[in-house]
Amino acid sequence: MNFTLKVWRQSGPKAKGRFETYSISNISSDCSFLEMLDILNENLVSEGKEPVCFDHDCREGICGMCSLYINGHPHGPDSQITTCQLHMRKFKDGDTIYIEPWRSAAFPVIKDLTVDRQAFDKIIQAGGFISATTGGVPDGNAIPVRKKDADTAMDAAACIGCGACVAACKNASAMLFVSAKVSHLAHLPQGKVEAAERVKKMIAKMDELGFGNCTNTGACEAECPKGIKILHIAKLNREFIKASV
Amino acid sequence: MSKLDSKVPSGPLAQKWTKYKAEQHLVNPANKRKLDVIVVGTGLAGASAAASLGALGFNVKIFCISDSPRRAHSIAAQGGINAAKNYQNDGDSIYRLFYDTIKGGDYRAREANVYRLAEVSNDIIDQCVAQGVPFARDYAGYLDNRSFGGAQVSRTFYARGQTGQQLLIGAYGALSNEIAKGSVKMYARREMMDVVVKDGHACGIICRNIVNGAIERYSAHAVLLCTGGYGNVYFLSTNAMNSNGSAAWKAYKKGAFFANPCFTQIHPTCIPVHGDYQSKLTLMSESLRNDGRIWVPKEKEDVEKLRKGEIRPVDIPEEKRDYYLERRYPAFGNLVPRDVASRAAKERCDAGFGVNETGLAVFLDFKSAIERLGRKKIEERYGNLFQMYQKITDQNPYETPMMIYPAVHYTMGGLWVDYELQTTLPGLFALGEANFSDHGANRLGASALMQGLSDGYFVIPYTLQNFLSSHISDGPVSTETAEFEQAEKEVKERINHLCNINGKTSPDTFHKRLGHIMWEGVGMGRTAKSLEWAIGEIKALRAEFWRDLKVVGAANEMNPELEKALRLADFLELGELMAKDALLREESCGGHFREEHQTPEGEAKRDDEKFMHVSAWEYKGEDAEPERHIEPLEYENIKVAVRNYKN
Amino acid sequence: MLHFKRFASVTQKITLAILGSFLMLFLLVHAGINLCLLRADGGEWFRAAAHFMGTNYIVKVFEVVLFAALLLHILLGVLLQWQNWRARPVRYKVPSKSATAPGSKFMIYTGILVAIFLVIHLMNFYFVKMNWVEGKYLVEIEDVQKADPAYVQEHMEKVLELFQSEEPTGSAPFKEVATGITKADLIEAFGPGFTAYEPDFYSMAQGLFNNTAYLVLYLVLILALGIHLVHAFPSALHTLGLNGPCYDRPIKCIGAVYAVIVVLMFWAVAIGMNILY
Repeated sequence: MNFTLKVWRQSGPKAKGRFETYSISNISSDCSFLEMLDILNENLVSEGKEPVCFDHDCREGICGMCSLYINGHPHGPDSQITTCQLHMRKFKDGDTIYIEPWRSAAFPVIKDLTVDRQAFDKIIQAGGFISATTGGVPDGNAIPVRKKDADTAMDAAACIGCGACVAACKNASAMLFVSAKVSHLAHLPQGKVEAAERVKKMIAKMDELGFGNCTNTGACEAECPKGIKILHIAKLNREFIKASV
Repeated sequence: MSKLDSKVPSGPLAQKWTKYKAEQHLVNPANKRKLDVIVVGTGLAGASAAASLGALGFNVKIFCISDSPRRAHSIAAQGGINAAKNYQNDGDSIYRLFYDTIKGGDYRAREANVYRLAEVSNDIIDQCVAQGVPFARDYAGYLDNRSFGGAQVSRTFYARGQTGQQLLIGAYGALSNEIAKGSVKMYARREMMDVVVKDGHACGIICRNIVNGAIERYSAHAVLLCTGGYGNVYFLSTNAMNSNGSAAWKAYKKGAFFANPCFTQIHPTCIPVHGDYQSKLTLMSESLRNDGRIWVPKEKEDVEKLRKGEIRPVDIPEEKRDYYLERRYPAFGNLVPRDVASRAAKERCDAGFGVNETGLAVFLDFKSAIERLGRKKIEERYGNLFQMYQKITDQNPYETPMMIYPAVHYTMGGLWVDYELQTTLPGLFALGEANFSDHGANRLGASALMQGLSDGYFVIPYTLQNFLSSHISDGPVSTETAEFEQAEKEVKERINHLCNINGKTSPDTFHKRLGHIMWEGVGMGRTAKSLEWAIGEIKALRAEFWRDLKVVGAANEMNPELEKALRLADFLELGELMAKDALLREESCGGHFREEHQTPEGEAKRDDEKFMHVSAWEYKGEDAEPERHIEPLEYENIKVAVRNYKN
Repeated sequence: MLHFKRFASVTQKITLAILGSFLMLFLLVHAGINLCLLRADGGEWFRAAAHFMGTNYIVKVFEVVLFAALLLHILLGVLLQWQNWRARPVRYKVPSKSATAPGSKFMIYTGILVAIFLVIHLMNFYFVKMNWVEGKYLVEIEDVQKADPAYVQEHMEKVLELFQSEEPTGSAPFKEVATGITKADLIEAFGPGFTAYEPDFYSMAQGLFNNTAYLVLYLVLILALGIHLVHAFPSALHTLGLNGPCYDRPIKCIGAVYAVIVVLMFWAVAIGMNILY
């Protein structure tokens, strides 16, 4: 397969970026999107040009490191996958593919397609945990957890922190990410103790970092590689109201 | 032998850890504040260690190669974590977990360490539950278990197919809590370049800031390496792209011994290689072997037809299928340990029964499980794995069997550590996959998570105190010393050198070639000939690397090509040591299979007489041969036997 | 930084949702009253309803609350939107192709259209009531006594003209109420000091809906309101946390039905008035 790639190139955080056009040919349809970029980079290196910087790590859809906004979709045009799980068979031969970094005030571009997502860490540090220190905890079976609650908590906990929700949201809102953590912990008896402080602190931090506001469009849910539902945002709102009154 | 003191406490096995804890030195809270600890790596071992030490009151600095601790490759572990809770009332106990782990490791692990691991396994589950890890529950609300390879009890706790992720997020949460409190300072996008040694004692590290290329110095009273394994030496492995062996390798070069480098685990259930552009291999959880049945056709003509696409797998009738694991190992069947399952797959494929075009794949079939349990149940258990498989291969595993093949997954070898997890370089500790201690020659499924967390949550908080108690009056460690100066200079020179070779070949091209040599020569089946060949090839490749490498871009900016080159330079040395170690270990054990040493049925043949020991390699300088030391393994509480998974 | 530091984003959104919900209730009341326009009674019911809404003290209090809610809703909507735009300073080259809830991407735009409509609407009706703009008025026959009798006597011809029924109903040749009067008519018939009249919303509506250009504009802007509402209903409940796995679909359906009903009610009246009266 042959493609025309329009790739965002930006040499540094402060530099002005632009789209560069590259042609790439003889790509197998079984090739993953990142492998296609690997091939592009090998080609660039052989021409003595700087390869395209992009974040990636596990390449099996769980570390949340890969990003890329491809033809109007975070993680590209397939459902419930990350960019590393996207395969070229999802495109048509001869397609023009636009590749952009995540765009958000809270995720500044570091270089090319690499963005800084430490804002997510800061939100978690604000309260996205149960503050149990090591040792001195009861037996794992001491507190039964209703299966339904454990399953819902797991649905929310599946979040990989990739930021596709922010990238997809027209408001660059991080509510799906925040709600996934809030909902995960609020569904478990262990997490209920700190639920009120958690939701308030995490939202305050989210606001401070410059994310937008949720308008319940559902774009995040549509693009979330782990299929996390925006119903968790409703849960977050519920928790927030509970914590405020 | 004097160089390898394992420091195992005396006394009965079950009392050793209790005795150690009772007798060890502690550091009082006021002194803890004066002591700095560096943790490199934020996977299960690193995050749990940093969180625990931070909570105790030490000043912790933690270094992460990615943008966030949550990216560490522990996150990719799918199946589960073992613990001897015996919630299932099926006869499990600490001793049995210990026994299974030693046996699974083919009697090449240190008894005391493994027993301690089994002992604290239960605390890990409790800790994780308290942190909000959403383990699977039954309808009564209690924790659920599944079974795993190499065990006859169900002791594996799991969170769907994302157990590693959930455990890491638990540890990441605990770490985030400490970062927020200020007891741990986080350094993201930093790669450790070297260990700094002063007066024979690790006193800090040199890092490269991946964002801007700055070379930075950090000092501490102790350095903890939690940097994972070195499986990426094979280029294609289930490891993440950023996983590398450089931290351990630098430590080795600074005086830490490297133990059992040849012990690598080849995981039996991975998606087969499909093209030379491929960048990594995807693991399909071992838990699939609970319900999936592995087979190849009995007859060659069916194989031919399959490869030509003339028939579909489902067209082959039951009586023409060879469920070779069930045939060869009736007692454990599809749940034999990984090394056994991998070799059996290789044996079938080598015999010409591989089912895809490359001849390197076998079937993992869920038809009978779907018939028995219904599609819904299977979906509940493995839905995400099936989806993952379908996304990659474009085939629906509910309708056609999966195709799988073994792939490099885990390295049992690593930095040699004593009972306290301290390497032979004082002040330098190694935790998790980065050390060699608990899995012998083969790791059982669901034990890696257990080991990482055991080291981080429940071992190092004790043993590190024992070490640091003698450093309370050291005062702050300065980075303005000749040793730091020298280390930084060497790092800069190395980077400079790599950037200015100005050859023609990219790091990835070299890495692929190294991977090919390693897989062919030091792969699943090794011979003296293949190993000698590999050593020669690696040497030649290394020379070519330093002559013809091309690194595009500058050193003082984000430069993935330079990162690759730096890591590859170390892999090119490590690969050779792996081959050397494999060559000298004239026996087959666990993941190390020397084709010269097998039974007539093709099973691994150990040589306990000569090789019931750990080999630990000491670096002797650039041009000198490394020295092989030996730590003999003594089994006082277990009867050493031939591993038998047949009956 | 206009991020209302003291109020969390979620607090702002919850407020927006509560205000929106209140406005949605009001819309039903308004549409219900509008339906009276369609009754072939020459505007009797509608005028009665309008009279009640214009004079009842509880409604007057309610009116203040309504305007406050409306203003705050607009203010918060704009503020949140402004924050949202700031959250993505560099926009994508390829516009988002992600699936979204119907109407949800255009809330600010449909909101602006509704606001424009409101201005027109207020100018047409409410401002008349406030005596800020010229409109049509009605006078009840007994209120004529409140005018200066001498003046009325003098201009009896004009008064008779106003109250003369075209088709006399019953025995009386006079209408109970004179409608569709302009300010000029009022002054001419009852003198400048006369205040016993009220706005004749029925006549004004009739006039407007029979103007084709206005009718088209009205229909379009009501459609914009409908699109706003399709998302507003489920979104408000979502923001208030009143959503869960079992309610999600029903809520979305009810939201859509609600929006359709509101649009149809307003449309029916507008088109009906155009065709029938």
